[in-house]
Amino acid sequence: MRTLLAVLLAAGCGEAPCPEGEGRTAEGVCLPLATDEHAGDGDPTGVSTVEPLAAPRLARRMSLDIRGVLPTASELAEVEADPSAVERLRSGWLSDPRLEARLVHLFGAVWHTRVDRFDINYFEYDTLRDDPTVEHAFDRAVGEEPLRLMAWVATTDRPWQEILTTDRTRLPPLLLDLWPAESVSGGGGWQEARYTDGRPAAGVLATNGLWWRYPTSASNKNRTRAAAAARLLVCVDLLDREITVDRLGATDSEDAVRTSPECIGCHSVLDPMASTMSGFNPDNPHSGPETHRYHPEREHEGPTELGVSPAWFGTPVEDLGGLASTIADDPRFLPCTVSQLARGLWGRSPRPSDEAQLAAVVDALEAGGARLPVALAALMDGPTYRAGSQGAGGQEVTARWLWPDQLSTAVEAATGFRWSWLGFELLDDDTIGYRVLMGGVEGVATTAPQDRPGLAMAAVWKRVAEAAADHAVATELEAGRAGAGLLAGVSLSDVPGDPSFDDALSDLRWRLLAERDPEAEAALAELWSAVSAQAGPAVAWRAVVAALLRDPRFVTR
Amino acid sequence: MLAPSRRALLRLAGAGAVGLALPHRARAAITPAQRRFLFVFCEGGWDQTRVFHPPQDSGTLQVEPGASVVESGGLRFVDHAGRPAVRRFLEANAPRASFLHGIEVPSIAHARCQKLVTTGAAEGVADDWAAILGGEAQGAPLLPTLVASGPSTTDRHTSRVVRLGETGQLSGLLSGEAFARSDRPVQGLPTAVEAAVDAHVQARFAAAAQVSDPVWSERAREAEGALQDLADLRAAAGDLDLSIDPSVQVPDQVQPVLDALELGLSRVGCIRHMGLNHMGWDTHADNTALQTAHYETLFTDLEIILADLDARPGPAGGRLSDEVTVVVFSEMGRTPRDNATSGRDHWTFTSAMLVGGGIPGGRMAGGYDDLGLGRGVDLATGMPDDAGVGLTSRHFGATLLALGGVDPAAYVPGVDPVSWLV
Repeated sequence: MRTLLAVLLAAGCGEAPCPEGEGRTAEGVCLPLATDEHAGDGDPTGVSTVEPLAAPRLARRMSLDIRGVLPTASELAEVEADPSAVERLRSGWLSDPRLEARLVHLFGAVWHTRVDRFDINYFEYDTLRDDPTVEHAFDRAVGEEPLRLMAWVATTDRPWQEILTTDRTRLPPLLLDLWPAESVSGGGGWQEARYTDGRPAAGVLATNGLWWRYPTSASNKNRTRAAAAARLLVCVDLLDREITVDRLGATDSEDAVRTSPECIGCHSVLDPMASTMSGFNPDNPHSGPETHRYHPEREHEGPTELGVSPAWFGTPVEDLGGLASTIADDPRFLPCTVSQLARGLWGRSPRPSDEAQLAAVVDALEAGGARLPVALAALMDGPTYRAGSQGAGGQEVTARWLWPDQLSTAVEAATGFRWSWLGFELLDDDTIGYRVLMGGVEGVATTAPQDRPGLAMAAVWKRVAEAAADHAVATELEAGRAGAGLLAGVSLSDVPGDPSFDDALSDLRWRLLAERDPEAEAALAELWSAVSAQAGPAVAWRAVVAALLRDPRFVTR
Repeated sequence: MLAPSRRALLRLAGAGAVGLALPHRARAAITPAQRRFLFVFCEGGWDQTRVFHPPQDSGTLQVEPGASVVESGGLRFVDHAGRPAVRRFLEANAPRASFLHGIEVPSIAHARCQKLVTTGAAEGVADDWAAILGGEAQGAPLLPTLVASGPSTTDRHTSRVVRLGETGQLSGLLSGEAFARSDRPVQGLPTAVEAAVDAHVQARFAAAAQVSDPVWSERAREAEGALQDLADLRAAAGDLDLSIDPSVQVPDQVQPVLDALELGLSRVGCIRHMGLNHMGWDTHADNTALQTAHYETLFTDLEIILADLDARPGPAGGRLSDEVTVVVFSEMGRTPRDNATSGRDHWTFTSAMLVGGGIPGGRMAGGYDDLGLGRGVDLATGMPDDAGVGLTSRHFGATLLALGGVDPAAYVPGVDPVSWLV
């Protein structure tokens, strides 16, 4: 297990080692390690110099990562009274239905299927032709199909291998109406479903959503798809190898992949995988109705056209279903998943120095029947996840920006405001929205989250905060409904110095940031006073809420 | 182009503007550090044999029917009746255009090639050339690298790269017009209150930057800087129209970028060119017709863009075109012969074109051999030399950095620029 992880981690790291006595920061800069008796055991990461988050902030981080919302006031109170309550709360949170959406976004940032547009002719679908505003919902539904399937397996107590072996998928009514599939579970929203076109039981490898994101062509012969499968499921990026055509013996590409030493190394692995996928061969790759249907009659085309027998890294397989189940048994499969989760939770990619920590998580996952929540909990028990602050030379990403989906759901839960326009979720869209601007992943041109702040990110935080603050004040205070919402305890007639004002402000800050800081509270009170003197108490509360929603301790987790 | 009165107002505001607003007659020479850049990325892999690499020279490679080789102003290129804009552009602009041939990008995967050609690195995190040039800009421009479209890879210089958004969404965020695009009615804060909140938030990030935790400190400092830039930009150019319509032609799409370059708000602008009807350059089928159409569109658009740059004043007092180097490139080339569907597949050698400010015109560095592979090159003379250096994307990047007054050794150690083009 450790060897596999070492291989996986080493494959992703191209950094030169730092000089002795120095450690590499999360930004790739070599800095002197802090002299610390605990670091003297040869740990080059500086993890031993890292202070864990205080329990309330840890609970906040976990709640945002698992549910996408802040802890409730009572949950924070529980943790403040008893720090060990964090684990108890987390247990419950891992059964929260909101975990599904979080997993969709966590894996979406790696699987890159949540794109704004697919390369198909939308007009071929009557539903889209008649109502273009449905197009965004359609795009999201398509891109989320494999992710929803994965999240469903994770949240319904199924072993993780089922993402490859199930004959089910997850589809919303919009796609059930358009695609050759039927609902199994019924009900509204995302439903357990099954394709009716004879495709094999291959889990995500049998979803339209995955293959629409990774299309193929007559000349490509599903090699793109095979490469995607290897990268996403066992973290082996076959495209991540240097080639140079001047060592090609043949001038024809199809000859070269079979005969040239430069090409055989990859294609001897890639082509046998690709040969299992010809049931998804389209006559017209841009036709939705053509590409949403599986073609069993074309299954034989792959081996014939590619001139190879189906196999997964040298292990013969029968067909796509056999490929999927073989991948599920591959010893790299679970470590790859753990590595992807770690990236999403740690705010950085795993490094070779994380090998031991990740190996422990994989062991826990296997011991836990490959139930994904076990891996989440194990990751969250680790020092990297819990890193709160560190001394000089520390390399952990202690400042982890909220992901766009987290900002959206956290703000909505806190204030009631969700920024949508014409049916577009603006923090989840790039055509007219702000997903990439605030550091999110779009999936084609932007394939990694932005770990460092910039002007566009600051602009999005600013306007989201102002809009949400306006909404909260308007719907709670000004509508006379302050009580159970964000502005509980706030009254427009109270001023700084009144115990009720001071308590309400302190409580508001505590609920949003999960930390107490009298100096920061005093600064907020000053802001309130200055604004109130100019524009009145309602605007002053808008200013305070907006300031809190842009606070460095709010926009980080 | 901006109205003169507004340009004057914005110059007077001048927050973070690069360069001096000198009268034309008194303009100073442009130094490499003052040089600006417009990156035009042709996504999908252009066919270098349709313009840059005459296959006629080899005697063995497939020659496009009707194509001939033309030399003009020192540039040698492929001419075809279906692509008159190519000849027109190169004949007119040869005095300020150069080619770089035989750049090796050792992959045939689009994403990997994109990363390689823009950063020189295949793995790990890295800043691309545009981010580096913007990040190293003197005078602290407010939008150092402005990305209208196309790939953008950042690491250390993330905070110096600003995306406009696919339809220029940043513009609405800056001005507050974004509030009008909401299903639920929203109103912003009064201006003075907004400023008070901004100041409060900035102070909070400043305080966060004081901690000993190096990661927290660094990120908080960057956020504080971003907030200040945001405030300065709104003050200096709050009504600057940065909106984009991705459905229109590239010369129209690039207007916000050219405005930002003209005003000194940006040092680098980036835009993607997808050829005719935004179809993309990845022509695995019907290569001849599609590449002809794409090159015709590209060079027609470049004509318009260069004319636009010629007409605009630059921050240093002369023409903007004297200050801006237009970098036109693609992530890969295409095989020098057709496949079974009359298309061309991916090729690990490509060319790039540099036009405009600071470019010694009529020069070609590097070349291709009879098989279409890149040849070695003498970096000092640009002459193909099989005993010379095999050009890689790192040499491409080193050349761009040198053009921009950035020491290449700091980013591509051990790699020399093609000094003949600098």
